Amino acid sequence: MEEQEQNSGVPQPNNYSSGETPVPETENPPDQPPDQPLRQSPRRHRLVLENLKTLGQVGTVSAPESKIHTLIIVGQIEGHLILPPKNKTTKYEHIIPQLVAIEQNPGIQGVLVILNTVGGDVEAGLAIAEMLESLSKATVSLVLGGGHSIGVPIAVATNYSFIAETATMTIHPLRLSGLVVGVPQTYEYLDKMQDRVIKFVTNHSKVSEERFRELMFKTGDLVRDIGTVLVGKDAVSCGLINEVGGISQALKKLDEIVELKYGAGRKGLQ
Amino acid sequence: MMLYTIVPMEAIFVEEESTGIGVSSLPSPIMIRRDGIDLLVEQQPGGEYRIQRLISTNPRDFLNPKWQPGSILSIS
Repeated sequence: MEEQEQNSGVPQPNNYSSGETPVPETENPPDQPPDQPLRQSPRRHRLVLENLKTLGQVGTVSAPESKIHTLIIVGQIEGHLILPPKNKTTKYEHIIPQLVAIEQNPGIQGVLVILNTVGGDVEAGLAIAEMLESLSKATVSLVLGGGHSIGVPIAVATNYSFIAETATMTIHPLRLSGLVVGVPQTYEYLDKMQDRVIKFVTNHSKVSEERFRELMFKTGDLVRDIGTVLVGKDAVSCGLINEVGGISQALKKLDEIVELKYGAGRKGLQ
Repeated sequence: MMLYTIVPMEAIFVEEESTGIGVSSLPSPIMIRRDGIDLLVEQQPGGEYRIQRLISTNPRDFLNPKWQPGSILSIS
């Protein structure tokens, strides 16, 4: 900006093409004859380079960097064990570095988390939820279709959460699979794992621990099994999710939180 | 490892019993990086890669027709 102001009073050599930004040339007096190819060529060359440098950094003129990024969590959340290829998975080795990159990038101000998951690895799911919860950027989650089991702590880990009107969330107890040693300690361990999930969810949403346990162990709602299916509004009325809505509401809310966190001053920069 | 999911365990770990045509012929995708973007691709018979999934958080990457799932990348 300063350079342009300095330059405005100075007569310009007329061999600039109209699109190029003039660069002040202090060593060359402006009143020299403009048609001297030997003197002009290095300056032109530098102008082209300058343009390339500035334009190259933003990619193309029409596409500035997006300050909102999206994290899409679909299928099974895959953790320490690689699931058979038949399963569609979201892997923690992809998600975790992405979240680190988002946290480190000063250009990114908000993250929209889109969930359509059937659940998955407890450790991996909690790791993603813990990272989202500790992210300094504005975060909003949106449950579409379904956000079941370990998807629940991920949905509540963000600053604000949305669920589509017809989307569902299933809350059910953890189960032990594979080789299980039938001793009381096994069940104590299971209880401890379950408590981690319950604690995370109740700490990050308005649902009380009693209510969440009640939903988890309810009989009759899932025929022949234990648990509860919450459809859209039910998830909001029990306090698990903040609001029923879709992509436009979620992005609007994310913009609001970005505004709160970064203020109007930074918005103009982007 | 503990799974917390609504999908029954039998449905997740089906490999052994149903090694029919469907399951065993599923090629496992490989991950490559092009222009700073991670891509899950499957190798085609000709040696090219077909994009299966784009791993990015930048919504703009998904609008780039170059990274459209299903499109073919040549090796270079």
